[in-house]
Amino acid sequence: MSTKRYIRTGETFRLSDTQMKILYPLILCLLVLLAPINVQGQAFADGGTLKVGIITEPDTLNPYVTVTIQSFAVLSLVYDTLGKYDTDMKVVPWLGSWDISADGSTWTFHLAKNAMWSDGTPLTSADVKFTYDFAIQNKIGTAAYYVSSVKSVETPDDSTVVLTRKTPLTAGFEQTLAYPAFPVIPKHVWEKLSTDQILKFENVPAVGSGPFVFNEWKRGEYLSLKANANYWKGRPHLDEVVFRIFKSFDTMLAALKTGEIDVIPADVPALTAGTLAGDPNIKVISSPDYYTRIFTPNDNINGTGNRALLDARVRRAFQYAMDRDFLAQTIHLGLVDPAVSFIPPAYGIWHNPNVKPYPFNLTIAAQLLEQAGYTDPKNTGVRSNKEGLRLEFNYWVNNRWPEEMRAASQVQQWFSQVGIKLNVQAMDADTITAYNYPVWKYDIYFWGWRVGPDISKRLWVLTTEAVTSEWSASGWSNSAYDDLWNQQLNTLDQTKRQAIIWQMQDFIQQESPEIPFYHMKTVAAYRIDKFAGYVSMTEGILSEVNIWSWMGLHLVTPAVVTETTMPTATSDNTPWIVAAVAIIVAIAALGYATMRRRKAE
Amino acid sequence: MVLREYLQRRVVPALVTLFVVMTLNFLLFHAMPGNPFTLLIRDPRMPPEMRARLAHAYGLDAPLQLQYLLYFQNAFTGNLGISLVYKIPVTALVSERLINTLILVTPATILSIIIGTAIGLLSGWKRGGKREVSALLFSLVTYSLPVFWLGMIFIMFFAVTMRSFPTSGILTYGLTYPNFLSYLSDLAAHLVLPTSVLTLVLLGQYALIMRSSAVDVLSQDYVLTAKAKGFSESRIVRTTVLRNALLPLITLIGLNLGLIVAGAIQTETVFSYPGVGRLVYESVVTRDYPVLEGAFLAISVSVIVANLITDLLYAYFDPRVRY
Repeated sequence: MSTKRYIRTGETFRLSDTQMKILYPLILCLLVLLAPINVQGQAFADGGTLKVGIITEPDTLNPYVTVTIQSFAVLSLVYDTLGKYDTDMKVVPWLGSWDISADGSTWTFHLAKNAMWSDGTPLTSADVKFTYDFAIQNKIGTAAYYVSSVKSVETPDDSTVVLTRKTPLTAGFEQTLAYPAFPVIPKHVWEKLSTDQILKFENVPAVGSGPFVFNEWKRGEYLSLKANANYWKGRPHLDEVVFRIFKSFDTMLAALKTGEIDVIPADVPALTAGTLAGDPNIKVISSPDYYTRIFTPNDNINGTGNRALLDARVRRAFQYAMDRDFLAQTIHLGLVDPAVSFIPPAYGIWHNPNVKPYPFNLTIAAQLLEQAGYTDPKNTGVRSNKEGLRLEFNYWVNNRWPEEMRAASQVQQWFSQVGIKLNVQAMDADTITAYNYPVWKYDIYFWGWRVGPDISKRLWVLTTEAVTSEWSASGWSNSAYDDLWNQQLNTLDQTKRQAIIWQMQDFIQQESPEIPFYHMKTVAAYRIDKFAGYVSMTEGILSEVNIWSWMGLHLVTPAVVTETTMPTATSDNTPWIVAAVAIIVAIAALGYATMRRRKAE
Repeated sequence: MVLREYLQRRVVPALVTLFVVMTLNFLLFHAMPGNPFTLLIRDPRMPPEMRARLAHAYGLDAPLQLQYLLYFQNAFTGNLGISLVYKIPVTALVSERLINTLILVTPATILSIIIGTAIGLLSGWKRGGKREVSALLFSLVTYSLPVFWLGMIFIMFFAVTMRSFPTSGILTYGLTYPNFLSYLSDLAAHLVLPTSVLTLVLLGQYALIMRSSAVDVLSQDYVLTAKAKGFSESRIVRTTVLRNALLPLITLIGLNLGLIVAGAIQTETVFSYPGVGRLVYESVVTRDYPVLEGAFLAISVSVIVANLITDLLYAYFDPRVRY
């Protein structure tokens, strides 16, 4: 830790509030004068600690067992991947460059020659080969998926890697090169571990080659990364990035307002976004995300949920009986996109904007249920068919989303108007999952899919294969859809592949195995008075796929001025003294009162 | 000799309680639906065999009886295993959080006992006046305030508007401390808000119990006797009333001492304070069995020890209770 920069400036130099009031405009004027010089000089002053507020703590820095997106973000800074997403979410070379053979079967990587691991060992082609061979042999973690289309990896020299793909070639191979949970790992660290050891490996401190180096992780409090001074692409402008872990969103927000943190990269609730709008130093920005919240009926033919759900007409009736626009406006204040296709717009050309929507119409919903044989002649409020199957469902909502409980009671009300009874219940994700696999013992639950930029994988979660491997949320299986999935995977021509994927979305809309509710957006809030250079892209201004912000962020002011204006109330003795005085005064007052009473006797 | 017998009568049941509690803890966590690896398979890129391999690596595929025996063997050798989430030893994780919690809870408890007792005693003593009504109202209001709400109000006022204290956490990140005193003052600045909130919320019950207990004692014959002997009112309160009225309070304090170790979850949440209560909550969500078992062991032991101490203290304060 650099002691110089963080030494307590407050003890020797602190301005009173009145002094600050006079000085602040002066400093601002000075900055305005300095600004053009800065632009001319171009290079931003290196320095500054970017404090990022997060709620979910990273679980581990071991890329093979991590499941949290926060770990992915840290991994993307500590390690390099062969490719990175550009601002349009296209995969571009990162760790050097690559040539692709005419038929696309052979990829030759020319690694950056000065790339180095944080322990000083040079990064060579042997590390890349080890990364691939390791994943192929061990079939461990998500890496197994990334190497499933790789045939072999050869290393003609220290900086060249030749990767041969399996035939027939599949679409979307480049996606596997840019995913943060499949980074290039140092051979000299990982080759010593057995598979069982890797499953329990903490990987702290992580030896990486990325723009930042692991510094410190105090669990439950913060995780800190320092700039990699020897980074082969040149060091990032920031000196340090700290992820501060909060337990309550409101507190995190208060910390953003006081400047204890600089940015909240995601999940800023809609209601909060409004309250932040008044602060001139804080900006709120929403970006597209690959994240859809879905209403998931149990469509598994071997399941034990309410069997009425196997009928597509019932599921279509659900679609007509929910007003997503209303919910998006009232519950999320318009910060989400009401869903039509199950593929969110963030997927760009793969999102089919022409999917036929189901308008909110309770009459059509009721008609569909009549057609399916569900009637309510005795006016009990709940429809049933001739076999006595009642349209009464348990509806579980992930308890981490209190706002969705409110949405659920609204849906419950609409459904009751067409003779469907929903028993709404909040439940934790683990319990829902346990009733999901392998028993399929539930009726309907509310869930989210966030699969990342790889469109194939997002489409895959509805295939039959996903049911047998226990990934499908609804358990729905349809051979026509499976065929389409295989077709798109083997279609290399982008336009043709797009046509198939659009067709799949029409098909899913018709069958409604999972009912998309809304496509979420990444809502971030950040202070503009200390740092600049945020790059906006899909998944937000700071994410595991957005390397550009992390590399480009810099102090808005020259480092010297910032340092002297930075002392905050948190770093001096005043509050402690105030508190001590308050307590002493309270005790004295109490003592005085007692004494007086005694005298009065 | 008599003391030894008394200790035996108290310590042996405490140990039996500990055994039962540990067994219940073990069964409880394993009876929850789902296991630490269920959420892992929610990532469609994760191969399905990973679950089985992880279960094997952590010994969770062994028969439950065997896991139970191992759990006891490890608990008594001080080895609480590795956190399934963090992959670091549970002993280190839990003990660090436990210390943090004690730093927060101990001053709050002491302050709330002192202030609560004083308020209760005064309002019991000066019955019927405005002072009693206001003290009673104050105790009732603070007692019924939701911790998270009070915490948010404190943060909004003292941290955001006044900027006099940090919003959250335990230490300011990135500070280097030239001496121990500056370290302490930073720690204290972070503790002021959560400690005040916790004190305010806790003191109500002490005040209420103390008040009714004092009222009860004040109407006793021996107080009348003392008055008849001509002792001053303040002396009666100090020597006779306080000591007798404290007895029910000791029981309450004993019960609370154990619970507060685990019970500061809300305060810890609002102030994002890295304490043991919050760790337990998060471990339940992620089904981190070793951490849960470790933390519950620590909590159970502190409840049992606190009760033991209460029993012994009771005997000290109330001469009617014999060893």
